[in-house]
Amino acid sequence: MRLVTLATVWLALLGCEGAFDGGAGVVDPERAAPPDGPRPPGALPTASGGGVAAPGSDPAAPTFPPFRPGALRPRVLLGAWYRNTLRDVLGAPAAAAVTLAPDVTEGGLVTIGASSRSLTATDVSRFEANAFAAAQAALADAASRARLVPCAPSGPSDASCMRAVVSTTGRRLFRRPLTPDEVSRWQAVGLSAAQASGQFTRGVEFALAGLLQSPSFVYLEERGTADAAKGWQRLGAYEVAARLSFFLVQSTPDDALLEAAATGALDTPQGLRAQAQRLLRTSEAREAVSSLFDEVFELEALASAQKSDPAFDRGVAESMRQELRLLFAHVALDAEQDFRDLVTTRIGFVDRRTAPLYGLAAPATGVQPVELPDTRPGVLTRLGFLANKAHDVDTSPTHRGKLVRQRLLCMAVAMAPPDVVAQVPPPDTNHRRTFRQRLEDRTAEARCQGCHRLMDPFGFPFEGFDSLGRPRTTDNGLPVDSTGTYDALFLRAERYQGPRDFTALLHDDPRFSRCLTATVFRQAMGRFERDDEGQALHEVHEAWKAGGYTYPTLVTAIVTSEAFRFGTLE
Amino acid sequence: MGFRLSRRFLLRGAGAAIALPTLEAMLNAHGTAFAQGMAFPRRYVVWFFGNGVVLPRWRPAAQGQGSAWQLSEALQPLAAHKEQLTVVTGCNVRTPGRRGHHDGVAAMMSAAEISPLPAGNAPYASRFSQRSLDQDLADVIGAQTRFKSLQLRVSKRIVRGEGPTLAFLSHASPTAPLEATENPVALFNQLFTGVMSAPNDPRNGLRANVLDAVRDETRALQAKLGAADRARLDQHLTGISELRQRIQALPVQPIGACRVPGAPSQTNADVNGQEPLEPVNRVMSELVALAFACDLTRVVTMQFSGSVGNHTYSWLGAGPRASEHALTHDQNEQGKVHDAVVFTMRCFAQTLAAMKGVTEGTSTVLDNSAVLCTSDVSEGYTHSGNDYPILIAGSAGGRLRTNVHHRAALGRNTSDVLLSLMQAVGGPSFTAVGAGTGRSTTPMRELLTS
Repeated sequence: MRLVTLATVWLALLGCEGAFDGGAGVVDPERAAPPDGPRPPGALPTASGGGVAAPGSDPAAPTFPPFRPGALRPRVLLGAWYRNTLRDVLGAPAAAAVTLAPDVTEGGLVTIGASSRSLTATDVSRFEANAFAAAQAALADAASRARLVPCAPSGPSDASCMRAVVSTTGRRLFRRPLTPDEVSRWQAVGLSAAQASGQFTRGVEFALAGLLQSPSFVYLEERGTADAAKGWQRLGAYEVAARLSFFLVQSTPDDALLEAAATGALDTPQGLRAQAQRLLRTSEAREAVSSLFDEVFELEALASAQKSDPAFDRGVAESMRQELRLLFAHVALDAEQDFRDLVTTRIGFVDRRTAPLYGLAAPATGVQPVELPDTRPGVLTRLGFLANKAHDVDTSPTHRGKLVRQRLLCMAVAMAPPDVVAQVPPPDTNHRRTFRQRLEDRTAEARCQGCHRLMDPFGFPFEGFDSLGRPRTTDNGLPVDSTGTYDALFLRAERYQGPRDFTALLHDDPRFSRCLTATVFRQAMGRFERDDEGQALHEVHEAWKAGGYTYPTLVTAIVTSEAFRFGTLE
Repeated sequence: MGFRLSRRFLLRGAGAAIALPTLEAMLNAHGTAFAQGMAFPRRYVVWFFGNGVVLPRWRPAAQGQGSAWQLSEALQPLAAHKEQLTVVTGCNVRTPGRRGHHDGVAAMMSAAEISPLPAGNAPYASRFSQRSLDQDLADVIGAQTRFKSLQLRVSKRIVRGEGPTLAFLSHASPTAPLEATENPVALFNQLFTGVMSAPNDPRNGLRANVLDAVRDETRALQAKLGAADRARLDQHLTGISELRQRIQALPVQPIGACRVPGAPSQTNADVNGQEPLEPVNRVMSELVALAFACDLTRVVTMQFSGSVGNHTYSWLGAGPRASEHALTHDQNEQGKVHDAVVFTMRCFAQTLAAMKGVTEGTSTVLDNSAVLCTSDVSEGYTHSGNDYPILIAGSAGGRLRTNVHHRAALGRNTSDVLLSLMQAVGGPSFTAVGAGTGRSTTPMRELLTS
């Protein structure tokens, strides 16, 4: 019963009248995530199963509904997956020849969007144009051609050579050996084009262009086979290989991974772990981690951000983004390091554009790893975050805090009601106030506080950094105030004096590690977790904790979980 | 005109089920229609801009037709097109007010509400709950053209992080948003490269061959899937068959107003950090006008600037180079927002001029079109959906009244306007549009000539 009461209190405190669907008093659960960690959208804490931990307590012995894996749905290959696959299978010239459309984001991640979007007439045309462009570019390149055509054709009608082309390249593109029907189909397409043109290579172009338009290539499709004991679908070894590879390196499985699938090495947790660890050592894995957290921190907005400050231009914005991308990969993969140190680490990466903003001497060339002063703990004190989540001239405790709350703690914030004018009044010369003070004045009324108290205290610690991320001690001529109360509403209400205190609290907040677990899980699965995966997610989290919170431990815990290896059919 | 159509040409044209361009030989003596009595094709264009207007400077003072009303301050750039223009004021978006900007896009494109998406730990996001009306219309009037519909975008700085609603105008289904072409050079290639060339490319049969194999595999996959994913693959299969039809279509003949324009050099790359909005809009509009004249398509949606969007107008003067969206939320910057609306109307005027510049018999491409110009909110300052900004240009071949300011009874459903346009362009088979509180079965008669 205590749980129900707490949930009620939570909703009452939220109380952003008019901010929720359905009018006053009706709370949209999608917007009002519970305070105690990651949870499937749409689910509110309930007493059923007794599995919801009381806020503030460690869920020592939680119980969950019986585990059942999520539905298997075809995912459209993401742009990066598509281009990387071309690079790995057809060669760099093919990858450079295609024009990609942006992916569709859902739930903050393009991997989730890929599970629900349909391919339209526009997409079909683009896939066709790209398929021919890639095939032609590959065949025009001697090295790529030699790799794709592993035999010397005796003439345009050389059926066995065409078969070899289709089955060799098809295996990489389809992430599994082709069925005899598939080999015959694409062999026939290739041969008819070869005969019509009198050129074997022209035939290969059409066969490759066909493979690149096949649904077995453009969708990451998983069906598994019925596991009678479990009552679910068990993913096949090739399906696990593809899931693993796109998750960790954003590309089709390499030969070693396909070989592991063929020999049954992926059928055991040990084999899976070994392959995951191998892939995590590649440079492509770094890029994958960078891309995931680029999305989490919403860094794409930096690419078009505008500031009046002459110190801000496209070049410095690009350097800021690059710095964070390097930091993500560094903390995740460079050392056996607690990944939560992302919010406390003093390691930074500066170049000639960003160093002056940090008050450091600019390196002569390239990017330089540096140890920043202890006033700069972690990613939330870096230029890329601070400038991206700020106004033109003023800072924005609201935007900074909202990202921390939504993306790092997985707690929703309701949107502003439709009729609200979201504007902090400009400075008044007769009544001098800092931006923070003016924000607090403007949002003092109860209907603002319902939401702003959930966001702004997560942004106040960074008031010592201006809208570009430079240190500052005053705002509008008054001393800045970086103090506040951590999570006054639900957990321990602890005072912080600035970013150091705040990031230390965040680092150890169990909601943070559970949110990271959920985020990486969603990335792996291309969907939100479901209620009945709560048990699996909890186990992943506990395994991650036991492994010292290193990123590779989190990854291996996810990929060896039953949630990753099983699914259900709709 | 000593033009003689070969019997074989006509037969092949009919067999391929692709609309032929206007042939002067086929015009009637008045140049108003085809000799057989068939009128010029009617077209539908949505020209969309983000973040609304400043209403007091947008609404014309008087209403009526002809000299009874005058353009408002914001509409001055459209002076050359007043006779082709209708301004509708007083209508409200009637769908639930869930989320500023989102509601208005879905209401004006689909006459229905949005579907909120599971947010997870991400910012708010939504998709459409219904397909967009331009796609319904394309099923009726675009099925025979080479491109069933075209989607264009001028400003690249759209918001993609809040789901498909803000990023796309056209939606073939709620999960099938249609990506837009942003680069005029790409649009030219899409429309005119290989399309107007004379004999059949020998590759085309082989490409169709590939598509048949792709279709077979897609069908086989579809049969294994659950209902939701089967619907997704329906879209894919439709796309395959449309592409196949296009590949096999006869080359278009440059006859009448239809001609192949010179290849443009204008791209959509930023210049000194600024988007080339004006030239991109102009070149795209010229290509669209010719695409209409060649009957390559009859349905176009054009996103001039994004809802919310990160587009900026550096010429707005000194001070922060904030985005237009940021300006709309600043009480002291409403003058700049108005300036941005005037600029937007100047660009809209380019589009109308391009369509007017292509004559069809005694009329113009613009006369034979219905162009809806609207936004995602009434005023960005409050995210209001009331007294919505709506412009209509062209008469859809005489079916729409023009040179009118109609002030509807306050609070009338914006969807009534949309239904009128569907009927004017698509005919009486459109008896209703939309769903829920957005649904309309009552066209705004004052807009129609009969």
